[in-house]
Amino acid sequence: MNKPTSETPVSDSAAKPLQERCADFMKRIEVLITIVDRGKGDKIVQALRESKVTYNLSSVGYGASGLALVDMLGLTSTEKDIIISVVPEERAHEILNILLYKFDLDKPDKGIAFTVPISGVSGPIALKYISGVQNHILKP
Amino acid sequence: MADTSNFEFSLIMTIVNRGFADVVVDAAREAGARGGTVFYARGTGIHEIEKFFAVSIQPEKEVVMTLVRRDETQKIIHGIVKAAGLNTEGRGLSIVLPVSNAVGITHYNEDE
Repeated sequence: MNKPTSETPVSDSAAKPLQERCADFMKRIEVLITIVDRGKGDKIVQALRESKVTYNLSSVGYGASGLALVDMLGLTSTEKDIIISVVPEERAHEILNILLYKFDLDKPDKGIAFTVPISGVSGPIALKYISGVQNHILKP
Repeated sequence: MADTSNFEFSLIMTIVNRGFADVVVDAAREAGARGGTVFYARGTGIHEIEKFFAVSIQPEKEVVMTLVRRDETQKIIHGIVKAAGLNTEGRGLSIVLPVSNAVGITHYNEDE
């Protein structure tokens, strides 16, 4: 990721009142759910962290697709990692594309990723926490 | 890149008693879904905790996530409720969430 990171000039945000500073991160957010083969979850989280998605929860799960016969023979690996993250709405497409190309999700059986909109959060601190806002924006 | 932009998807999440995820997945598949992802969870509902020799037993649950095409949502959720709804042994509870973006869904393109 060699992107210029000049979007949040510290000196500029420090001059604004708190309400305006809050408005900077009061954007619509979405839950990103990524389902990949077991063991790949850490790499997904690492890639998400590199794209500044800092709130990632990882869990284990089991896939239930595929043919029943192959499943019976024990030929499929159905163990999966589920990664739940929070992304801003306007970056959802970009982050999905990063995952798509980095992990070849366009090929069958490589995993899927999708976003679900959030309609509410339990307060400004929770919102700040899950959307990964740095402290200096809140502090004057 | 597989072009899934023509489709809109919904996410069906079904919470069932542990052991009934296969019933849900089979019902969903019969109604047109392609599969699903299962993970374990623990219910904490008001009627759920049972005392067994003065030891409270937490009910174990399974959550099934199924990504379906939006126009097939009703059909599939009816199939799930019929097979594992609240009136059945699985005590299944389904919710549908809107999916705004999705990548990696390849199987719908194979048909066409």
